[in-house]
Amino acid sequence: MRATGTSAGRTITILLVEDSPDDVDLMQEAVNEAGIDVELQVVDDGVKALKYLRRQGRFADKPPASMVLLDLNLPRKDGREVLVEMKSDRKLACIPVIVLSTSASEDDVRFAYAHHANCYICKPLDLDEFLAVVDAIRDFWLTVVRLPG
Amino acid sequence: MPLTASPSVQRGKGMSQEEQKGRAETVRIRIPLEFRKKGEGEEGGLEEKVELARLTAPIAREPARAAQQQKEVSADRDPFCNQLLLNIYDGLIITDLEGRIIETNARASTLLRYRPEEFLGRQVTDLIDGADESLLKDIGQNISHEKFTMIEGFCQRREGGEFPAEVTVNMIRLPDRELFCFFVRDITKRMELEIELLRLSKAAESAADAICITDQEGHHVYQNPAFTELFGYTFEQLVADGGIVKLFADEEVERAFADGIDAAGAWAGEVEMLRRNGRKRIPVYMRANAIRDEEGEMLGLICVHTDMTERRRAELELRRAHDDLEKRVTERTQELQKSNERLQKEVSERKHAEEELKRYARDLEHSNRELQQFAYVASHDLQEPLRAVVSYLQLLERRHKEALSEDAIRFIDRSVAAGKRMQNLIRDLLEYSRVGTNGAPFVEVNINSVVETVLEGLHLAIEETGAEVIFGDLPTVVADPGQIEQLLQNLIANAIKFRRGDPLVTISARRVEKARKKVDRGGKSMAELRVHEGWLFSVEDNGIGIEQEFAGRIFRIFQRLHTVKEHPGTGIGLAICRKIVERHGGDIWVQSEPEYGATFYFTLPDLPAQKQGD
Repeated sequence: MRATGTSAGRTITILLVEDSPDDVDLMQEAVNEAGIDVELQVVDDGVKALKYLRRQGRFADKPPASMVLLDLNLPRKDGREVLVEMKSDRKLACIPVIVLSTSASEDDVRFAYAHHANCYICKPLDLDEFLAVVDAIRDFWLTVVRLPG
Repeated sequence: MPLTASPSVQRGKGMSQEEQKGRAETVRIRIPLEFRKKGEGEEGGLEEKVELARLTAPIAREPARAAQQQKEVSADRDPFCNQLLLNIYDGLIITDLEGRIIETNARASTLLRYRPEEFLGRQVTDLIDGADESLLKDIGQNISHEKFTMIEGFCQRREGGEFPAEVTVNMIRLPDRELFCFFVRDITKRMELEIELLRLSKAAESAADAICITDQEGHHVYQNPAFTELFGYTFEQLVADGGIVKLFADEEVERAFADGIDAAGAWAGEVEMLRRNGRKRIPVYMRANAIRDEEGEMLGLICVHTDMTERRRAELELRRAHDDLEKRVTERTQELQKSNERLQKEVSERKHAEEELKRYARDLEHSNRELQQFAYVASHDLQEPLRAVVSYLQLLERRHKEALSEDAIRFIDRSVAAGKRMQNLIRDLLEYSRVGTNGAPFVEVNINSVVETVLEGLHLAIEETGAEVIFGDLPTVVADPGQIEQLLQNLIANAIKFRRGDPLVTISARRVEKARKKVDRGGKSMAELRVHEGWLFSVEDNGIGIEQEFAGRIFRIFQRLHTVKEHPGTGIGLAICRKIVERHGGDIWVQSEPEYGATFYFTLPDLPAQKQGD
C-alpha cells in the first residue's frame, strides 16, 4: 500500500536529524520500501536542526518540516537540547517530534516524554523490525494522525 | 693519759668490809717506786729528811718498856728531828723488824686515832691492812734502805673504821739495829676523785657517741671505745698520726673548728671526718667544748661525735624514695602524655582516614558517574555500527537473495545472529553498570507484592513450563523497589529456565540475628559471611542444579555454565543480582547439587528507610 503524506495538497516534509550516514541511508531505504511519499530532509547535528526549523541561513529556502525524526546523541547540540528548544519555542512547539534512538535507557525515555516528545522509538537492530517501525510511523503519523499545517 | 684508774682503787668506799677482805689480795699489790736521788722533788726531799731522823732509841718488847723506850727515843732526839717528825704530812710509824711499833708521830695519831703511847708495842700489821708479816719479811730481805715499797691499802682506826691509805715503807739501818719506817698517807680524797673520775670515765666509755679529750696544747689524751670503733684509730695510732685535727676531711671545716674554739671555746657542726682504714668519710655531728678549771683556765677540749651515717642513709633513702616517687610520677605523667599523644595521633589518623574515605567516596562517585557515562556512550556508539552491520547484511540478503548461494545466506544469518547477541551483551553491560549508579532510594517494600508483580511479568514462561511458584508471608523490607523486583525476577526466571521437569520454585524468608557464620560460597573455600540483623531469603528450585565448585563463578559477569545453545542468555543475570544485594549491604550465595536443584540465598540487612531524593 502506498501512502501519500499530504497536507493541504503539499508533499509532507520530514526532517531527519541523524549523524550516522548508515542510519540515514537505512531510513531512506525503509521510507522507500514503505512507499511513503514524503520529502526527507536530513541534517547531521542539533545546531543545523534548529537552523533548519527556523529556516535560517542556508535553510531559508528549504520546505518547512511537518515532523521531526530526532536522534538523541548528536554532535554539537544533542537531541535533548534540540527537543527542549523546540518545545520552548512557540513557533516550533507544535511540530511533532518522534525520538528515534539506539538508547533503551529509561532516563532517556523519561526525559523525552517529560519534554513533550510525541513518541519514543528504540531503533531495532533487526532490519525487518526496523522496516516494521517505519511502517508503523507511516500508518499512524502519516495516515491516522492529522498534522498541523 | 687515759682516764684509767689503777686497779687498787677498785676497792671502793661503798664496799662492805667483807667484800674488802675477800678482795684483800687485789689490794696487796706492791708498786716499787724507784726514787731517784736527784735532790729534787718533794719525795726526794722527804727522803733526805727521813735520813736525817736518827731513831736511835732502844726498842722495848714490853708495852711499858716500850713506852719507856719511846720516851727515851724522843728524849734522845734532837729538837729539830722531833719537830720534823711531828710536823710531816704523812703519818709516820717506826717498827722493829718484827713489826712492833716503837715510834709514831702526831700525824699518825690523827689518822689512826691512837694516842702516841697507845701505839707502842702494837703490831703494825694490825693497823695497816696488807702490811702483814710476809710483807715485812719481803721488805727485810729485798729492800735496801735506799728503796721504798709502796702499798695501797686500808688502815684500821682505833675505834673501828678505816680509811684508804698509801703507805710507803722503807728500812732504816742504824748503827746498832734496823727499823722499818711506815709513811701513811690518807688518800680518801684522791680515791673519791678517782672514783668520780672512774664514773665519768665509765660514762664516757659506755657512751654511744665517740668522745675524745685533748689537753690545752691540743694533744690527744683520751678516746672512748665508741671513738675507736667509729674512726678505726686506737689511742696510740691517733697520737702517732697527730691527733683529732687529722680527722677532719675538709681543711675549711678544720679552720672553722679551730676559730670557733679560739673565739668561744666551743664549736658544733655537721662535718665529715675520715676513718683510718681507707680514709672513708664519715658524716658526724661534732660538739667540742673547752674544759676549764675553777679559775676558768682552759685545760683541754672535749669533743663528742655523733655518727650521722645511719641518719644520712635514712635521709638518703628518704630522698631516694622521694626521688623515686617523683620519677614514677614523672614517668606516669610522661606515659599519660604519650598515651595522650597517641590518642591525639589516633584521632588525627582517624580524621585523616575519614577524609581519605570521604575523598575515596567522592572519587568513587566521580568514577561511577564516568562509568555510567562510559557505559551509556559505549552502548550507544557500539550499537550504531552494529545496527549498520546487521541491517545492511539483512538488506543485502533481502535485495539480492536470488543472487546469493545458500552458503552466503547462511553466513549472513550467522553474522546477523552474532550481531544481535552482541547487542544483547552491550545492553546487559549497560544495565549492569547502572545497578550501582542508577539506584532509587531505599523505601519499605513488601516482598509479597514484589513477587506477585514478578510472577505477572513471567506468566508466559510459567504457563509454558507449567511451573509452580510457592511463596507466602514474605516480609516487608527497606530496599530499592525496582532492584528488588529485578533481583527476584532474575532468580525466579533462572529457576524456571534451568528446569528439569516441572519447575517447582519455593520462596521463603526468615530472620537472622547479627552474627558471623561460615558459608560455602564456592566449594573451594569457606568464606566468612557478615550477617547483620535482617532477613535471609531463599529461592529454591528443583532444576538441573549446578556443581558446587562453580557456585562462586556464576555470580560473575558474563560467566556462563552452559552454552548459548543449551540455555540462551548473556550470563549477566546473577551478576546483576549480586550487585543489587551488595548495594543493599547483603550477601548472595548458592547451595546446589547437580540434578537436585539449587537454592539461592540472599540476605537483606535491616536498613533505615531513606527519604525520597536521598
